[in-house]
Amino acid sequence: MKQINRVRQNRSSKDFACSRIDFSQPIHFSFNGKEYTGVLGDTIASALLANGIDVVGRSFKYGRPRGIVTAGSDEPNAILQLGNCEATQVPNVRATQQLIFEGLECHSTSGWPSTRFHLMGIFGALFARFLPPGFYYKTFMAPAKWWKYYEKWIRKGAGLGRSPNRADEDIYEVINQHADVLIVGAGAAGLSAALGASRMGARVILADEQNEFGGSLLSSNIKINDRCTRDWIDAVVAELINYESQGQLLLLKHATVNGYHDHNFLTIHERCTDHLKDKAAQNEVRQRYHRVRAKQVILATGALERPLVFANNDLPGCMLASAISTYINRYQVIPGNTLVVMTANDSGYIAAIDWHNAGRRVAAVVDTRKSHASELSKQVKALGITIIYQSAVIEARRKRLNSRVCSAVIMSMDSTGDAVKGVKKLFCVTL
Amino acid sequence: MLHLSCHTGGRPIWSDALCAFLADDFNKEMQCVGAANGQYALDKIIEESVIAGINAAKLSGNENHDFSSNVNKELDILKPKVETYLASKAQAIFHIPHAKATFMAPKQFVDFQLDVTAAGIELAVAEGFESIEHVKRYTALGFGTDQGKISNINGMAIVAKKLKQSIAETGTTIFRPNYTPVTFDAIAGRNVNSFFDVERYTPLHREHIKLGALFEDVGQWKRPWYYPDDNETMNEAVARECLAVRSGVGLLDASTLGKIDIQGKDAREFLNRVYTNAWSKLPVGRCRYGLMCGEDGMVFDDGVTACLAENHFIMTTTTGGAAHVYQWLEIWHQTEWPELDVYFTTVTDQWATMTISGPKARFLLAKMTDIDLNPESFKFMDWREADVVGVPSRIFRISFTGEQSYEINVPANYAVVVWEKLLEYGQEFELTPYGTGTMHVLRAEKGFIIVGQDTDGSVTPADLNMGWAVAKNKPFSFIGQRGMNREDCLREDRKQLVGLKTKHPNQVLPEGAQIILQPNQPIPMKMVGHVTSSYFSAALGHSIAMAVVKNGINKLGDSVYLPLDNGETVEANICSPIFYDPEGAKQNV
Amino acid sequence: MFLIHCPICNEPRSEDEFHCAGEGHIQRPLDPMATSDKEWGDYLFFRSNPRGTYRELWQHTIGCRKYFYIKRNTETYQIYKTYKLDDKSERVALDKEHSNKNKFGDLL
Ligand SMILES: [Zn+2]
Repeated sequence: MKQINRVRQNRSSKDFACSRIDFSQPIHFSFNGKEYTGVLGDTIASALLANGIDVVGRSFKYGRPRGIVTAGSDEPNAILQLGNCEATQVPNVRATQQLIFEGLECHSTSGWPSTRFHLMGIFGALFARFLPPGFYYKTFMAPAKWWKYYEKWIRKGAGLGRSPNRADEDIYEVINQHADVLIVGAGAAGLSAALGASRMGARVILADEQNEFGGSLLSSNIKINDRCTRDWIDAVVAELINYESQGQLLLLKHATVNGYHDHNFLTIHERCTDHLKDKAAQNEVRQRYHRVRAKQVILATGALERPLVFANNDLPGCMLASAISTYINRYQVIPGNTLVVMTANDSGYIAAIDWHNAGRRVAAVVDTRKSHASELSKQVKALGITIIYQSAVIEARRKRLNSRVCSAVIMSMDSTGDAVKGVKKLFCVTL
Repeated sequence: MLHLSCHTGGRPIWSDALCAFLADDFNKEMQCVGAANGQYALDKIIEESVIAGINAAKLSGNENHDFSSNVNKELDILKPKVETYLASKAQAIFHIPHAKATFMAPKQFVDFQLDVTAAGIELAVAEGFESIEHVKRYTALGFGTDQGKISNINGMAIVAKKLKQSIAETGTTIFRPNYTPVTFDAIAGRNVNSFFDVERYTPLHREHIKLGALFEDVGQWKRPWYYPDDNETMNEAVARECLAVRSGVGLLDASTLGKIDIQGKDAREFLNRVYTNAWSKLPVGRCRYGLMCGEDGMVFDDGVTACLAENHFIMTTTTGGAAHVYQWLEIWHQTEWPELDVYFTTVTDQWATMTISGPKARFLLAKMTDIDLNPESFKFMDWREADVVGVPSRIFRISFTGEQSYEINVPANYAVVVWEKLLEYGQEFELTPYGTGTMHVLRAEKGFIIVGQDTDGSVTPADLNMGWAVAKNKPFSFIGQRGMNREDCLREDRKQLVGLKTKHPNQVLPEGAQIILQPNQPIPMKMVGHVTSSYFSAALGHSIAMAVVKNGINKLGDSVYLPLDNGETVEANICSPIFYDPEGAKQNV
Repeated sequence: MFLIHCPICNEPRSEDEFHCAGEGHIQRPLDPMATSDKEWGDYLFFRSNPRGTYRELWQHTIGCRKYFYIKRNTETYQIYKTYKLDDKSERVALDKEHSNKNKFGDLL
């Protein structure tokens, strides 16, 4: 299948200097039994978006089709089951965090019998009004002895992943570590803090859950010292590696700091080979669990964008603005043709600029705030993009039961943001 | 992203200016920088983070290092020129209203993973769930594997609006580890397969394998269970081993019993306090059985302690209770009676114990040692130092089978030699190795308890009909004395240890079977006790069982009934738990 | 996972090496047989279980095997100090806390 949403290759050198995907190395993988092609550096999510895949799973209760929403560990929908054979099955893998490798096999965890035709989806559509909150408590708890029959169906229908039924043959390791300073997250803040502490002679551990250091800088077109962010990241990492070679610093990629326990005891889950292959080679460690006792901890975990809640905001095609920028700048993937941005702050404008520069149409930026003249809004206007102030997308619409978002209903709001009036309809593919 | 800062108890604080939560100052050894600290301008982030890094280094003991010694000041990558935009203020909006009321509008999702909608949260609040933690549990908001990363704030904002209060007042739910799912493999690391749990072997483990033993797990120990011949079943093997001990001589590896070496001039007084019986008059060369109780008066361990010298004892404990008893002795000595001059060392692994038991035991032992084995001088409950096939040993004449029995203790490194010699000299007496399966039957035939099987932490010495093991006139109030004299412990209708004989001699009751007095009661029936141990006795030719029954000691001879899970009800008679050789003649000869 | 400073080994060690033995400074009646069932029950079964400052008995089980006290906060898990069994200063502080409580109890 063609990567229909990939930014054309010949543009990459100039406009996407920060992108680190390698077009010269195509990678084949399968999703729900179908073959796709991505490129080296892609996550499953970016590769699926590049291939124009809308639906990656089904929702838990109503069985609604769901698409990729984010580009990071906060992804709620694209939760996959990974593994080429029984012994290597891993449930609950976020497509946004897993790099593709040659021969990777993954499946939707929620979507039995299939993502396109879904039992719960039909249930959900017909009876959705009758599935209130506390539904599981109210309906299935009494009579209690029926639960064992319900549970099998609910679990299968909801799809929470499954555990392997063969023993895992790979090697795993637990290591105790001691550090003066543990820094969580290697974005601009974490890298700076690590270098500051290292230059002071401290024993430092720097852990980041992504496959490369840089955090949100990897998705940004901002200039540092008039050059792209990649150059700054490379310079800082080069100095850090120098400290690492002296044994004073430990740099961990693919390493999520998962638990912060009493007296600065933290656990780090490092995935050593998961991004490379299904099964580690003999005598190679697949994952490592670091048990760290740190004297000081610096959290440089960044911020997560908070989605706005509106009607049908779960339709495939509704994404976070920051995720859109990430897919464009880092993976050279534009997840759609026409964009409508709704925002309550300036960051939404950046997504609009990135989308426009990638060569596709931005229908409008819908800003819930009153008219203002920030620098970014001026830039957006200069590109000829419409800005609709003091309005909001109240509802996303689709054409068919299982299709992605196709239009947005926009209404202007009163000053408190509590009520809406007037209707305007815009067509879009990504929101 | 404040997930991690909450794991140890920090509570996020809402900032209206930033429309975001920030970490509180709960943890003094932690700081947040960058966007996690509400800082979004890149130049400020770098500046702030470098300072944080330097401070953390200083606070962790690196204050004397010169930061700038090897840094080019003009071109420092930590002081970059960054393009910045002047941002306009963000609006605190979370839930976009619809033209229709929320519950009539198309679904507005808050938590994508668990399908929690704005209407659902409003309904939960309307139904009276006002605490955010309750709303969370009722709607499952933030319950998924994404731990509410993108959904929680919106959920809180909707609750806050509905309750007409601020987000700060509504508060947050607490994030708990883990931030993202962790594989069990990673947590287990190398502790899998044979490294999953510690296995303890006696020094004779390989000898048991040579003899074809099957093993039973007892705590971390691997103990020989039974030694089947060719195609024998377990029942057949155990019956054969039992008869061999009763008629000839058997050999048991008892090395797993806990052994604690106790020394000091107050050792005897210490024993008086931790055991229920008296130790003041135990002479050197003698052994005594003792019960240990908790302060509540309930039995928790038993064993034989020998007086090695005036100020030197060796205590044995149950296999499973060894570590606990050792700790028990230490805590009482260190916290309550530090004035007592007494020292403990665990020597379980230093000694191997081989028990020979049966009417021919003495003949076998006589081949192995020159010491005087005359029963008039080396009596039941005596111990002697001896040279056994050239190995310095301690021989305890104690019995857990009711037969003439010698426990040969040798330094662990000599165990194999002595074992081999026992098998060699034993051929003439048809010496039969036996395992824990047989040991259980033999001791039950004699009514000897196993702590933890026939007791469950709610049984006093009196309940076991072992009042003889409780001293009445010790000067110091021993541990358990006050507890076992509480009103409730003196009741007559407490569950007491008795024997059971089934009406059909071949019927072996299941352990744990409940006991009732009237067979034709409506359900729920009135249960008066349960079976604790149950076996088929080859020596007696019928099944035997031990049980605890309310007021059982006064009910000898009465019929009781046991409804089994297959619908059958079995009749049995209450009897003394000592089924074999009630006079104790055989162990004394 | 606590980091506990063993006052006997004089070293901070991981919680794995220790074993908690419950509330500290519980006085065993000198003559148990002379106590009433209520007094004995109070000693045997009832513990203060406070929210806040708590003094506990711990053993350095995989270490020096000595028992010692930890004064810590049950809400924040902060450890204020660890001290040996013969350190009487906290015993005095505890008695003072109790007498204050009784005093206020009387006033109410
Ligand atoms: Zn210690």
